[in-house]
Amino acid sequence: MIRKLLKKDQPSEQILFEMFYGRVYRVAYMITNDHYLAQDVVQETFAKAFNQLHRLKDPEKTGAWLGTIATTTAIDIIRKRNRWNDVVTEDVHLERVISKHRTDTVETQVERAFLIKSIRSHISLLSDNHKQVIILKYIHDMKDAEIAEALGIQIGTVKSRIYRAKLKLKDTMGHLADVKEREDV
Amino acid sequence: MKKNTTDEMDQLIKKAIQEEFDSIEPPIPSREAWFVFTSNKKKCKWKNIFSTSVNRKFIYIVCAVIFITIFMMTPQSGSALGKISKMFNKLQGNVVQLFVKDSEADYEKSSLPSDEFSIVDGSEAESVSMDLEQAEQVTTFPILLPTWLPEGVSLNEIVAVLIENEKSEEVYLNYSGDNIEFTIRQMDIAHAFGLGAAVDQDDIRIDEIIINGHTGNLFIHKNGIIELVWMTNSSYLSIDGVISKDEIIKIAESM
Repeated sequence: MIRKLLKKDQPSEQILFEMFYGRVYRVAYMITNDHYLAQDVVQETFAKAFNQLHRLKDPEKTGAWLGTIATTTAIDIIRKRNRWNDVVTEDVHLERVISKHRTDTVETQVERAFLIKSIRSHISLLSDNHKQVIILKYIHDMKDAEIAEALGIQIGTVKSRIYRAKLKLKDTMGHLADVKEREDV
Repeated sequence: MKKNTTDEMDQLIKKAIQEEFDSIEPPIPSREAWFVFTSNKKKCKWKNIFSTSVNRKFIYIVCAVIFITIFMMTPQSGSALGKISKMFNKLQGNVVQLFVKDSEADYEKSSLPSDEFSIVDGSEAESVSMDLEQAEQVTTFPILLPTWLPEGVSLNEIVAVLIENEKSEEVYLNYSGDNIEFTIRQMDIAHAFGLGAAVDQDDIRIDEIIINGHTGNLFIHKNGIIELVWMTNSSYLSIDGVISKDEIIKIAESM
């Protein structure tokens, strides 16, 4: 199939697109938090992928490879947008987080489920670079070295970003625990 | 103990990220997204064609060529751009376009023709047969006669084109002999004159010939008819008929 893809065989391109569309879209949405931007990211990701298919070293890791392209593309798109409209983007993020937070605290009864939902709602608050590494690590199961190679950065930078991302999520959980305690009282 | 807590926290984070990831639903199904993707790709192709600077330059050049061509084809532009028109005297496939022009001055000074027109009484041209003496009296130019003629050939008829109240500016001299027949045409071009013709080289061979210092064109038709056209400072001259190439040139040079 990769050979056919390299020859720009359209049916093969369609199969690859449909196989990974959902996964790429989810990655795109997790970073952009916007359905329209996420769709733009999907389009651009596959366009880049079909043009750079010769760079795919291991066909079994196509999903991770597409995920890397998608996260990088999403960050690029957000950076371009933020040059024009960064305040609005941040507001959208905050509003979404606050609404999710309210829902979670009201509806969730089990502590673990509460914490997970809280983390989920705060993933969108992470910086784009931090989201990128945790998506590649936890969704695509990529090792730190693989992430470093895919993104063209030092492995130390990858470890540092993952550490900081987790630290922020832990801080959030600690803060939420305080809030929950106050609500319970 | 601390490690257990850290691992548990990692597990929580991983699960949260995975759940968040799984909870996202694409707004359109993959098949529909594929059609959007392919249609966008087609649009981008066109966009890229127009966006690169090289292609943009090419498009500008094509537009400029089209504009100039349309401008040149406009009838009013023909006389105004006489010099440029002359450059179009070139081969286009098997068709040769010939432009003959004597003066530009009158065209430049004259105003554009109005949309309205009228027929002046008696303005229609009439061909009148006459003898040489009469012809010299009614024409605006001295009639040139060849001093050399093939053996057995003689002047049969002189026909002047007359317009009422005006002197003739055009005369035909008909010659004939044994197996030879030709006509000499003379026109006064003292004011201004121009003509254009498209000639198919499949049917006609064209040679350029110098006659007494004036450039002329010799047309040799497939059916054996030969035509020689040239201009002096004041006259347009042509000889055509069933005659050999050497003879026609010799006749022209003797005028």
